[in-house]
Order: sequence, then C-alpha cells, then structure tokens
Amino acid sequence: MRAAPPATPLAPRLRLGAAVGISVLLSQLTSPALLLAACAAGLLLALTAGAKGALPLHSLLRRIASVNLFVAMLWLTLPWALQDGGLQWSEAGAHHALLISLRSNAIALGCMALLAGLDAFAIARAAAGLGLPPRLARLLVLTVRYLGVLDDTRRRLDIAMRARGFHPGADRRTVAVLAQQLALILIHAMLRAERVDLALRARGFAAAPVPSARPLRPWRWAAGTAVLCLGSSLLWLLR
Amino acid sequence: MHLAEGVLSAPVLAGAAALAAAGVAFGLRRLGEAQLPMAALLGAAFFVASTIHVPVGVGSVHLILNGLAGLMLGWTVFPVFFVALLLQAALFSFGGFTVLGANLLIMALPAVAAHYLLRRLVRPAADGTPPPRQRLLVAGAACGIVGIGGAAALASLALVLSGGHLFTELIGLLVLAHLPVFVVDALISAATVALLARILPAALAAVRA
Repeated sequence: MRAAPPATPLAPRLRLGAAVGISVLLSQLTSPALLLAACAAGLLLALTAGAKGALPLHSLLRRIASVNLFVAMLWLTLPWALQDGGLQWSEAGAHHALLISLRSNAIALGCMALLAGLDAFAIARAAAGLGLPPRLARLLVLTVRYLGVLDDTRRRLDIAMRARGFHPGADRRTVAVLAQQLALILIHAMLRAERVDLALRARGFAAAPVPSARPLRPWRWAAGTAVLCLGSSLLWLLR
Repeated sequence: MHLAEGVLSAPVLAGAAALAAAGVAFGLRRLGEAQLPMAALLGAAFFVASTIHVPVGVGSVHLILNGLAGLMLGWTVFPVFFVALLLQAALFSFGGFTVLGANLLIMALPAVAAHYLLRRLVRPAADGTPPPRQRLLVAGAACGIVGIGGAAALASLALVLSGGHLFTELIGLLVLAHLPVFVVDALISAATVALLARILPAALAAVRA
C-alpha cells in the first residue's frame, strides 16, 4: 500500500477532520438543491485528485459503485407502495430516496476527494493525531502494520490452493478449503502475536508512542470548535 | 454489513455513537498493553478474511465473521472492529464516519453476545482435552447465526427507529440479501472452529473466561 502523491497540501489529520466534519454536515441537509451542489463539488474535487494521480479512476468508480449498491436497494423499495390497486408510485417515498441517494453520494465523493492519496498508515497517524485515546491509536497503527503481513499470508495460501487445482464453487469442498485458509490465517496471526510478545518481554516491554500523534495545540482546538459552531449555525439556517 | 451514510436520523446516529463509544471504552479497559499485538493481529486477520469471497449462484458473498471474532475476542471486539470500520470507511467508502457508531454496534454487539453464549462450548476440559467435534461444529455454526442474525436485527432496528414503516420493505430486502452470507458464514465458522481445535487447541483455550 504505497502512498500516492497528496491531492492537496493540507495535513492528513486536517483532511481527516474535514472529512468527518463534512460527513456530519451533509448527513443533516434536507435540501435536494444543496445536496446536488455538494455532489457536483465532490465529484469535481475527486476528479481533480484523480487527475493529480492521487485517486485512480477505477478506484473512484469502484467506490461509487459500492456506495450505490445500497442506494439501488433504496430505489427498489422506498418509492413503491402496495395499495388496493397494486404497486403504486409514492412521491413521498421517492423524495426520501432522492435525499438519501444525494446525501450518500455527496458524503462519499467529498470524503474520497479529501482523503485521496492517503494510505492506511497515513489514515492511522491522522486519526491518532486527532485525539484518539493512546491505546486505541496504538491498536490502529499495529492493525495497519499487520494488515500487510496477513494479506501476504492470504495471497500465498491462495496461490498454493490454486496450484493444487482448487477452484471455488458453491460446494462442500469450497467450504472446507476456505475454512482451512481462514484457520491458517488465524493461527499465523496467533503464533506471530506470541513471537511479538516474547520479543517485547525480552526487551523489557514499554508501550511505544504512536508516531506523529502529537496533541493538537490549543489554538487549533479553538479553530476547530469555531469551524464546528459555524458549520452548525449554517446547517441550522439551511434547514 | 454496513449501513450507508445519510439513511439514519440524527437522534439514532447520536445515540448509536454514544453507545459505541462506551463499548470501545469498555473494550479498551479490558485490553492490556501486552495484549495489543494479539488484538491487532486478530483484527487484521479478520479484516483480511473478510476479503475472501465465496461463490453463491451467479454472484459471490464475502465473509463477515463477526460472531467468530466475538467468540475469540470478547469485549475487545469493540475497539478491534472500530479500527476495521474506520479503515473501511476511509479507504474503501464502506459505511462512513457519521454512521460509524451505528455500524460498530451492528457488528460488535452480536459478536459480544456470541462470546458469552458460546464460549463454554469451545473451551477445552481442565486436562486440556478439546471438546467433541460435534459440539465445536455447533458452536462455530452458532457464531455465524448469532453474528449475522444479530447484525441484521440491529440494522433493522436502526432503520425502524429512523424511518418507521417507511423502511419496512428495505429491511425485508436487506435481510433477504444477507441470507446467503448468513448460511456461508455459519458453515465456514463451524468448519474453522473445528479445525482450530484440531490444529492449535491453544487458540480456543485462549478464549477469555
């Protein structure tokens, strides 16, 4: 997971904080026009990030598709009402589905644009820098560290299984083979944890600080609070 | 199982976030510094395992395994799943930041329930003898049933609290869409628990009392 060039010069934790902020703000908007504008702005920013190489187009399309899977389920259910005359179109349901669709897409596009180019390590450091409890921040950083290791294990097991002629299907053999793969991944994780534990004890274990997890300066907290208050006021006015 | 952004109402989002924060805080209290690597490794293992796809009909489903994770991790599953859901929201746009608390409750509460309901079934006897294979298979299958069934029930509850009867059909469709996951997760969890007991009995002995 190599970091792509950053889409914007903003610090990662500021970008993560902004992504959370716009998610909260947009999730409460009820005006279709504003949400449509937010979608357009998010798409433009995401495409700009793509043009700079921070967000590949195939990744953008895949992520939009995953967001819209749920949206498709909404459109299959909300605008339809079962009445005496059979299945009928419901304006209220359609309006609700439209609002949720616009919100989901606006938030996803905005977050993708803001976080474009940040890899898992950068996200972990940014979240730690935003004030996560130290133990949770260490858990986040360690999890990211081990994701690559265990993903390698999974790939090796996958190659070994395919080399032996395994093709997954909806059958008992697939269940047995995938359970073996899962059990081996878990066992690999547990044995590695044991080795890490021994190594820590041998070194006289002391919890290491999370890199770049410096607390925010008071003026930054004040600025963040001011932005939050401004956003809330704006939201109240727009509603 | 992720609920998308923009669906749940503000009170449901706020309530779920508060409950999820309490769950994470409680989980962190039970997680000592020395157990962090184990929790991180198991969290990473379940994250990686969730990318395994199983063909079903013309499509495929991916594993969720929240029940199995809960069986092995207990309350620690809250911070472990928080990390996983945060990364999924930031890197893959699965779920989102606003709905993170609700999604965490949906995934982690059934996991904790699976831990308390099933831990006795998988623990080896005092002399180290593993439980009978049938009992392990039942416990593993129950992990899938409690994990996915509980998650579907909580997701439905969150939708009902947010939109009332408006979401009735959506809930039906959501449950229907997750039926294959329910079956596959239960089958693979059952076989995995039986295998773990045979290959590395200590893996299940480590299940917290």
